[in-house]
Amino acid sequence: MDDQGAEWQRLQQDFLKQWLGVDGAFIADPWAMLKDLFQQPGSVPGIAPSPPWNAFKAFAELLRAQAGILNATRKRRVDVGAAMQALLESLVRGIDAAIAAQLLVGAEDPTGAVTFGRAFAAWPALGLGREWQVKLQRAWQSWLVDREADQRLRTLQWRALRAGCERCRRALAAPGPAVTSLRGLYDLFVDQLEAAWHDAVMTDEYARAFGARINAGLALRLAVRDCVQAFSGLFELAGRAELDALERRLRALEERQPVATGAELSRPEPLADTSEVAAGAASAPAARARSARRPAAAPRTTAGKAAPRRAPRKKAPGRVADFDIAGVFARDDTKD
Amino acid sequence: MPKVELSWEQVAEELGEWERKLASGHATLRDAADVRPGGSPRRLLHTAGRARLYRYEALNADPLAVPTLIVYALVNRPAMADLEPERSLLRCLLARGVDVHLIEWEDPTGLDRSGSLADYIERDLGACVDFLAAAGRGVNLVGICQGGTFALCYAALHPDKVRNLVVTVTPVDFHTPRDTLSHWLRYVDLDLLGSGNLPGDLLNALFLALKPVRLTQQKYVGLVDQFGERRAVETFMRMEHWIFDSPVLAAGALREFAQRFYRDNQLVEGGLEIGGKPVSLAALTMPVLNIYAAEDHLVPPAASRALGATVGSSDYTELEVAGGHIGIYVGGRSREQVAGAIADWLASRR
Repeated sequence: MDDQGAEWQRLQQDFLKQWLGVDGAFIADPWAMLKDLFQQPGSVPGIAPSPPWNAFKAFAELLRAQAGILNATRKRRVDVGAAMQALLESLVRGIDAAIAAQLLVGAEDPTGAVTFGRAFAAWPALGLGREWQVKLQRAWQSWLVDREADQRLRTLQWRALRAGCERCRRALAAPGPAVTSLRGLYDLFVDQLEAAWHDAVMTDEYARAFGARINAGLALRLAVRDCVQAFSGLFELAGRAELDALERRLRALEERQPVATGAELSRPEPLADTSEVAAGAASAPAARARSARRPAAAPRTTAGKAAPRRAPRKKAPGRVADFDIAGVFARDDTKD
Repeated sequence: MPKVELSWEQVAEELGEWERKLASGHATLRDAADVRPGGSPRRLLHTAGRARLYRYEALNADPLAVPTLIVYALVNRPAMADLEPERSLLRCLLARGVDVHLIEWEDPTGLDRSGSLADYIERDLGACVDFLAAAGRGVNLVGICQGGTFALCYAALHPDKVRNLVVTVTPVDFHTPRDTLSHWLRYVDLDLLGSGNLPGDLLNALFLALKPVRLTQQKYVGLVDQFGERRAVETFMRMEHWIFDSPVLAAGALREFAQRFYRDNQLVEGGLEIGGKPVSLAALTMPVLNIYAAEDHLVPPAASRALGATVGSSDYTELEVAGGHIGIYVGGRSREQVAGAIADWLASRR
């Protein structure tokens, strides 16, 4: 191994030591360790690994293969741009193969749960356990529908990722400003993936698959809730129906005796220990006492006395260095 | 000229540097694990239904006389507007003399699931406005995102109670071409959606799916570059906490919002009723300031700008700010720009 390779290996070991709490000195192959990590949760004797762990394991194997490609090209001093093209090509092939093998969309049935579920959902419901059976069958059927909807959506998502890789390949071949850093290459890759993703998710096909997935998930939640409620009833635990009835009664009470509507506002209730600020805590009891003595006082009394106006504060020293989080969230923020 | 001008030596050097930062970052992240957003001094003034009304401690010796009430969305918490002392929209407003009040919505429980938008807008927001208006100086309303939509509805229903109205990154037209959320909701069964309170995590997953690679990968790759700067990491962790500490959404109000606004676009198309009362944006006769983000992927600029064509006020101002949906509040320059614009605009309309 050359010096660069040895340094890389050492850094990998440092990283694993810090983040996984293991002694990196004994780790010869980090990717193999990753694969083993994903293998473990499914390694129950006599039981095949569940689909998610199979998929993770396959992904770790894919990473390992790509690390191998990178290593080989590095040794041969291959052009980085060409190596990136090869990597993207391998990713596209990997996605195609994984979808075809149903690895990435989780359509395998290693435990036989799907086969059993389909059979069970069709059993006639008769006799003493009829109502229980119907509830369970409905839950099982909902799970099957949810699973299929999830597979359809995931297939579209993986296709979007594939389209992103293709788009990135085209971008690398097109004229334009040169990419002069690995981070720049990664950012270009991300830009292309996101653009392809946006195109994909704005189609009617995706909106339908998305709607079906959400609907199936919500229906499954309802079906499971019914089962849990029936079971809870055996132990006199309140279920959703009982809480709904309670909510209706509370609302009826509130409508007869509003908690805080216009009529009450001119006489705001003094609040017990409402201060959330150490600075304001000292004045709170006095404010409460004044409020209690004069229940009809305008709200200004509570607000104004409790929070006296102050001169402008000096800016705290040690301003944050010019890290602009807006750079992270300007394009990438999530929600509000 | 090749597109990629990068040697393997450069690649190895860059990867090595990245690995070094990554290895050192574990301790930095662990140390910043407990930081929380928010913290500007404030007092609870009043509670009404699910609304908790706070007043923030003044930072200016000569504050504006009219209290300003900030209305936040039901999704996430308003701590984003007070992320930390150096990145606080609220402190910027306070420093400019705005008398800042804010509504925090209590997390709904299973006993709130059948509540309606009228509960939030007419009962709770209305109660807070009345509480502040009792001092006789009127109230300015500032709405953020969905809170802006609530503020629009309330002001349209009670134009006499709102002196000035400011909305920021607020959706008005929910059917603009680049509105991904609206597109995704087209085939969702809203009766099922309203069949139970929605966990905040579910909504977070939805928001992450809008930009999955940026928000689940690239953002964290970028974080590694900040590992050497403890305060930068703390800021990041505050944002992270804010993003993922999402309240449950009450089923009834969520369903109604999705149906009336996203599905039927009633704010623009007409027919909107809150608590049985018709809402028309033409009734907004008070001065209106509409601030939107140029790169907003959640509320496209066109969705906000639609307000200009429907508002009834002759004193209507629009301001486009560079940045994203959240970036305009937490980014250095944009936050100052937003706060300055609001404060100056309010000051000129005392």
